[in-house]
Amino acid sequence: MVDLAAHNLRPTPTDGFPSPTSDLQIQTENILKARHPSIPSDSGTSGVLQRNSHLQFLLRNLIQGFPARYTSQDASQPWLIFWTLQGFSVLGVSLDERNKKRAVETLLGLQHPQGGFCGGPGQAPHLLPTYAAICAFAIAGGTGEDGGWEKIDREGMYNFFMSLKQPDGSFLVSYDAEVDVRGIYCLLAAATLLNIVTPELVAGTPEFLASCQTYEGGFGSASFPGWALNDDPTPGEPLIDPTSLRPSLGEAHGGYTFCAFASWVLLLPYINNYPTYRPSYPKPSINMKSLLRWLTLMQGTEIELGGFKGRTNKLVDGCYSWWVGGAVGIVEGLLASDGKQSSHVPKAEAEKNEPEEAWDDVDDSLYNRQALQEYILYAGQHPAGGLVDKPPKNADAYHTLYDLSGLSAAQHRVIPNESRKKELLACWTEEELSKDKIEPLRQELFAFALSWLEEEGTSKFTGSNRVNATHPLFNLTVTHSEAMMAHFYNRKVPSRYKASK
Amino acid sequence: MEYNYDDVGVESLNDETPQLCQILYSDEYKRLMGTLLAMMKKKEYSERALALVERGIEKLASHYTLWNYRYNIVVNLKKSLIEELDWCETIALENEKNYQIWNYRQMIIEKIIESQAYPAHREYPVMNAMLEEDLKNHHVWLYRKWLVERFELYQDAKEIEFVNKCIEIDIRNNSAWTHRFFLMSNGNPIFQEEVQYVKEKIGQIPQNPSSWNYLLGLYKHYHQPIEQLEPFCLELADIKADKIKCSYALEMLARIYQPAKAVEVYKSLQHYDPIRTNYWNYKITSLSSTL
Ligand SMILES: [Zn+2]
Repeated sequence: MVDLAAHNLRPTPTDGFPSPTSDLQIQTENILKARHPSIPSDSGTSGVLQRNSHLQFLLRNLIQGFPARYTSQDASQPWLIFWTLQGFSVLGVSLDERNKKRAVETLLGLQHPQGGFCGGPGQAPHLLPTYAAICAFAIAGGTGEDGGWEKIDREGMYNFFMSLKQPDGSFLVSYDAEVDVRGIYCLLAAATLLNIVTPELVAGTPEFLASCQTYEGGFGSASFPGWALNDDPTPGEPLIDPTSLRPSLGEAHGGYTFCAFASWVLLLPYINNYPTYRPSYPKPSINMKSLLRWLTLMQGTEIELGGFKGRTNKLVDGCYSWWVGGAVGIVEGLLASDGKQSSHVPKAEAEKNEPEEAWDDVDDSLYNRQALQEYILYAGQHPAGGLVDKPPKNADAYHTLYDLSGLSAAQHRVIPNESRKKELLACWTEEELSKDKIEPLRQELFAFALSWLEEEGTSKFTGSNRVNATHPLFNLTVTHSEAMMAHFYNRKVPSRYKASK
Repeated sequence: MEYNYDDVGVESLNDETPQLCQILYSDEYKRLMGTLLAMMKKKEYSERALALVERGIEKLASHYTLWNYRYNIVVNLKKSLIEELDWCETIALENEKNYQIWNYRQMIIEKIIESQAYPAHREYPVMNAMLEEDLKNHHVWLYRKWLVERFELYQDAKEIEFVNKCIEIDIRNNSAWTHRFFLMSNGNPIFQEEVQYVKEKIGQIPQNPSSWNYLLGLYKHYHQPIEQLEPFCLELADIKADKIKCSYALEMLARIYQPAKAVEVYKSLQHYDPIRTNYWNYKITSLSSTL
C-alpha cells in the first residue's frame, strides 16, 4: 500500500495495475518532473517569461507569414490572426497603425458577401472564424474609414446566425454541418460584442446548453436534437420540449466546458430577465457545484507542475490553462458577485431550495494559481520562442495564445464589479429604454459583460512575469471589449478609473 | 482517370494587397485549392469535380467548404451512397482528429435511410479501426453515441460487449466509461448490477477518477442515497487508522459526512491531494456557513 502523501513529486499511483493510460501518464510525468522548479536547470532562465522570444515568434508569423505546415489552418485563417493579435495584447504590445490597417483589410477579405466570416477567401461562412474575426477587429480595428468596424455586415451576420438555428435552441456551426457548443460560444460572443442579440436569436439556447452538462460535471459537445418530442404541441410552437432530459452527447471536455459555460454566463442577463422557452417550463439551470468540482479535478498534481488536463485521465496540456483555468476564474467571478447580491437570503433557506446551485461565500482562489503559472513558465515555453502543449512539442500559434491567456487568468482576478455595473446601466435613459421592447435586454447584456473588471490588489505573479489581464468571457482585454461594445451599443462609457475606487 | 481543368481558372488564395498572417502555401496547394474554389463558385457538379475534391480533402480534411461541395456533387450526380461511405472510411483513417468526416458520414447515412434500411453494425469496423489507433478519439466516440441514439442500440449486446472490452483494455479510459454511462442511463434500469460492476473495478484500481465519477453519476442518476457507500469507502480510506489508499474514497466520505463530520475529512484531503488545497478549503468554508 502506497502512502499517498509520501512526498511532493509523487508519481500518480498505478495501484499495481498499469494500463495504456498510466503508461503514458508516467512517461509524461518523467518529462515534466525534470522541469520542476525545485530541479536546478542549466539555462538559469527557467521560470522567467521569455517575453522577447515570444514577441519575435508572433512578429514572424504576423509579418513573414506562417510556414507551409500551417496549410492545415487554411480553413481557420481568422484564427491565425486572432491568436497572433491577442498574443500581442496579452504581452502588452499594441500594433502600429500600418499593421492595424493591414489586419483590417485582411479581415474584411474574409467576410462572406451574405454575412458571417469564412475560414478563408471563397470559403463558406462558419461560426468559429466569425468569432475569431470579430475579436481580431476589436484589437486592430476601430471607427472611421480605416477602422473597418462600420464595414462589418451585422444584419447579414444576424441572418446567417438565424439560418443556423435549430428547433432545440442550438446552432449548426455552418451550413450542413454539426451542432456543437464551440459554435454557440462563438456566436454569442460575437453577437454580444456587436449588439445583435435578440430574444428570438437565443430562445431555447440556455436550455440546450444546460443539457450538455455531463454526469462528471463538465460539458460535452452537444446533446441530441429532437430527443424529446412533445406529444401535444400547442399550434405554432416548436415540437421539441427543450427542458426534458436529453442525453448529453459527449465526454466532459475542457474546450467544450469553457464554451458551454461562458455561453451560459454571457446569457445570464437573458436567462434572468426573460420568460422561459414556454411559460410553464422551469428556469433552466446548470449544476455549478459539480462543474466546479470537475474543473478543479482537472488540475494536475505537483509532478505534473500543476498544469490542467482537458478530460479525466488524460494528460496535462498548456492550452487548458485557459479553457479550464479560465473557466474556474469565471466561477470565482460569479461566486464573488453572488455573495454580494444574495447576502440577505438566509443561507439555510437558500440551501434547501437549491441544494446544487446555492453558492457560499468565497474569498480565495479555487485552484492553485501559482502551480499553473509554474507549468506555463517552466514547461510551456519553447526555447526558440512561442509556447507549447507540453515538452518536447513544438510551439504553435494556438498554444502560444492559450498558454499566455491561461497565464493571464492565473495572475489576475477579473470579476463582476457591482458599482461599475450600475454606472454602465446608467448609460441608458428611461426614454431610450421604453422606446424599444428589447432595449432593456441590450442594456443588461452591455452592463453585465463590461462589469467584469480586475479586482485591485489581487494580481499574483513573480518578478517580471506580469502579463495583461484579459476578459474571462471574450479573451480580449477589457479595454478592447469596452471600446468595441461602446461603439456598437452607441454608448459613451464612463472612465473605469474612478469606478473601481 | 485523368481530367483536364484548363478551362476552369484558378482563384487566388491570397489577395493582391499585403496580407497579415499569410500562410506560405506550396505552389501545388495553391493550384489545387484555387481550381477547386473556382469550380465551387461555378457550382460545377461533375465527375472531374468529384475527383479533384477528393484530392483536396486528402490534402486538407478540415476544409469544411470542400465537404459541403462534395456532398452536393454526390447528391447531384446520384452517386452510390454506400460507395461514398467506403471512401469516407479511408479518409477517416488518415485524419484522426477531424470533425467534418463524421458529420459527413452522418449526412450520407441519413440520406440512405430516406429510401432504404441501413444496418447499423456496418459502422462497427471503421469505428473499431479508428479506436484501435486511439482509444480516446473524441470524434469517434461522439459518432458512436449518435449511432446508438439513431439506431436505438442502448441495449444492443454488441455495444455493451464493446464497452466492456474497452474498459478491460484500459480501465482508465474515461471515454469508455462515459459511453457506458450513456448506454446505462438511457437503457433499462440496472442500478444494482452497475454498482456491483464499478465497485469491483474500484477494488482493482482504487485511485481511478473515471470509475469514481461513474459511481457518483450512477447514484445521482438513480437518486439513490450515497450514504450506502460509507462502508465501501471506509475500506479504501480508513480514517481512524489513517490508512488512505485512495483520495476519491476520502472525497466521497466527505460528501457522505457533510456538513458536521466532513471538516476533518476535507482537512485530510488537503494532505492527500495537496494541489487542490484551495478547493478543499472552499468546501470547508461552504460547510461552516450551513451549520
Ligand atoms: Zn492543447
